[in-house]
Amino acid sequence: MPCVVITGAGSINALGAGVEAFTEGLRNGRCGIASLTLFDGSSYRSSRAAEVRGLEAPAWLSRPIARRASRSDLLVAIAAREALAAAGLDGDADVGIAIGATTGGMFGSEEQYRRRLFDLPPLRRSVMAATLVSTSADLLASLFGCYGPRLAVSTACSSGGNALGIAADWIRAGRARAVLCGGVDSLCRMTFSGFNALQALDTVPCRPFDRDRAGLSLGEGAAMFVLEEREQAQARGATILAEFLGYGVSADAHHITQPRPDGAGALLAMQRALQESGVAADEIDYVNAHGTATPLNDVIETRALKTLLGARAYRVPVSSTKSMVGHCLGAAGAIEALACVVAMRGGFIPPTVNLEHPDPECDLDYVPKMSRTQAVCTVMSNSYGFGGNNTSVVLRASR
Amino acid sequence: MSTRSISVAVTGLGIVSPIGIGRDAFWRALCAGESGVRPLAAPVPRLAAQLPEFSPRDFIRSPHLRRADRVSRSIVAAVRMALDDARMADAAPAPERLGVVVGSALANVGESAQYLERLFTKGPALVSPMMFPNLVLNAPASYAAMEIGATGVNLTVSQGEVSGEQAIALGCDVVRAGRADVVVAGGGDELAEIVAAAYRDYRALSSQRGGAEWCSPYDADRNGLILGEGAAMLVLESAERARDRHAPIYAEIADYVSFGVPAPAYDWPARAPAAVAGLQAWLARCVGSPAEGGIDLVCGSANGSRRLDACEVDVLTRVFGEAAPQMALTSIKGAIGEFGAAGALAAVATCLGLRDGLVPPLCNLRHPPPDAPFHFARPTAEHRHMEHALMMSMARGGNSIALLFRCPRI
Repeated sequence: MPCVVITGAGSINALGAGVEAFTEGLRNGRCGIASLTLFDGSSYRSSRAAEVRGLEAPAWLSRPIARRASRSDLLVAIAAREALAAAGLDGDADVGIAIGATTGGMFGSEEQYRRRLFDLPPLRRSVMAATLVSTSADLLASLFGCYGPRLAVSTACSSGGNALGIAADWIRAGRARAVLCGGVDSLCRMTFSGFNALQALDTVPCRPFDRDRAGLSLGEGAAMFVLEEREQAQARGATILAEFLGYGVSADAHHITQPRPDGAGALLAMQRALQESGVAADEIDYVNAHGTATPLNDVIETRALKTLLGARAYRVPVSSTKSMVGHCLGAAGAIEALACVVAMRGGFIPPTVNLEHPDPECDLDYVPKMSRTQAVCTVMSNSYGFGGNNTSVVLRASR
Repeated sequence: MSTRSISVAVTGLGIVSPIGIGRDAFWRALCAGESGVRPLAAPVPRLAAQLPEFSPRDFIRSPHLRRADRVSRSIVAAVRMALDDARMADAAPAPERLGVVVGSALANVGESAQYLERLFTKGPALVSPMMFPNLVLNAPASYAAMEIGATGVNLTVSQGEVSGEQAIALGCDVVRAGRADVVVAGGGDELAEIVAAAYRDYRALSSQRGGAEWCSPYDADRNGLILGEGAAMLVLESAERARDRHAPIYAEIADYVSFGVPAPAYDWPARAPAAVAGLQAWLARCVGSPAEGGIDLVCGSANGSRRLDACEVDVLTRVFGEAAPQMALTSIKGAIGEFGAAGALAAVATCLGLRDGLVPPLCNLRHPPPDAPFHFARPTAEHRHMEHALMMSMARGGNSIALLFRCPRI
């Protein structure tokens, strides 16, 4: 089986633009969750969000593209450009694109819809066309000349993890020389109001694994990677950031929003990821948890981790970087895979900030408040989505 | 490369279409040249291929689906029909080895519009917490998993007008990589005023270009597309597994190729010369040189649009060269209209065409395009001996995919 490696990464989220800003934010345990400014949050239960402040079309985007790009388009284009530049792969037609996304251009199209409802002057006509999550993938293809296989995967909050897995499968099957892959989502009123109505938003910045946790904080951003086969990467002298060892997918088949109480689905995804990776549970030395800070998720995920890791569970650091960048939905799996890469390269464990009061039912080592200097070699990242979608990916430091 | 040589068998079909509910009703109507395009009461669109009234409860057993939305119910009904059709009985896979892959451009778009209207007119405190989870693109795949108890791989892809084809291709990959023993793959989409408005913004609808309002793929006088809706699901498993359990096989999927071509934003390309060499090389690996006539039927994605249909004919003419006159070219969108998952319904037609040796017709074709050397079956299905059928499809934005189907090897 060909070995799939990561040779480029790009990032934008509430902690800033660029992998370096993300690294420093995680290392310093900076919380990017603050008051919402993107739209009026006063009529929601919570008006906290991990926004990308001051997002503008970068100068390198042509005017016509900058004018029609949705907020998601901008986020993903910025992250993709950084990833391609890091990999040194700009302008290769045999590059595939796999993105995970759930909101697409909804931030613009919901505004267009509002204007139509109230007979206000409309935005550009292209706003509705950009609603589809796939238009972000189409934009990347034309921006960077990537004409390999292309797919937008939308499995709610596990989308980003699945996009990486599908990209790795394409490399293994010889469907593309390299794949630009990851996840993106932007904040919008539709998802904000939806989680608000489900009473799933905390009124203060989210507190994963905390006794008093009361829900999630939504965020936005993008993380993009370049995946390719190891020998090719070595032959062209690319820097290998990490190895993508494998992934596992399962479904709860239980409920449209609630996870299965016994955590069997989460466990199966983790077991499958380990099996495909040829990694024993004993080898995992950091878990980037889904850790949404909803009362149910954190207990069930903890339970599943204990089953997977056995007695060693108490000695494996587990953290939720959502405490810093919020829950970025379709981008979460990719952003958190990047947090793992950053941890391996930087030799530190990103913390779970805002965790003040331990919960007796969540009693693992969640690396509270401050990052920890520690060598990290083999990591797992979990992503669980609405509808009971579970995805786990396993990464290893480059040798 | 090894897993790409694994042949995937299609052993079950389920379909909810504007021309009939269920495999047999759909196939009978399609072969007879019927079209589901009808005038609607709504002003936008004026004409569309709408689903007939049907009772999803005839197919759906799980009580968890009482709150499921309209698209989810169509998709899950198709999933149930497909799985029943595959007659697994003793050979049913373990729940964790059963997967679902759904393709949908917009899924529950009608309720999304209703939800936004309520949000903007009544405020966030009055939107329904029951409605929101159904607006998520993967709600249909999640409901499908609940209905059939599938705890294996569960994926949803969204790729404009080729969402159905992409889901079937991904389903094949899941089977080939051994991530599941059986995958139910396909897709569904629904008609909504907001979708028609988006296509209208790009002057893509037949009604906007003058002349008669109709949907006639490849026709020299075509003037645009007409929207439709529906769902179709295919049961996929390795051909080896299907033969071991002595399952009737509709067709095998030999391989697929997915690629992009340069295209204007939100529109189809006028030409796609870049696609030709890649398709030829891929076909040569699968069935031998395309000019030597290995392919008997091409089921295209043409929808009556001036651009897409011309582009498709151009690419196919270049790919197949001298073999073109011996090949039949068809598209079923005159019967079912255009929508994100239309390709899943076309895949069902392709499988049934191979099984019965029947070319699905172009029900509305009056004037074949003068530059297309292919044979066109019209207005009803034609008998033809066929071994290999190619589905070739292109979405706005240039995302393209070709799937190679063949008669089962016994």
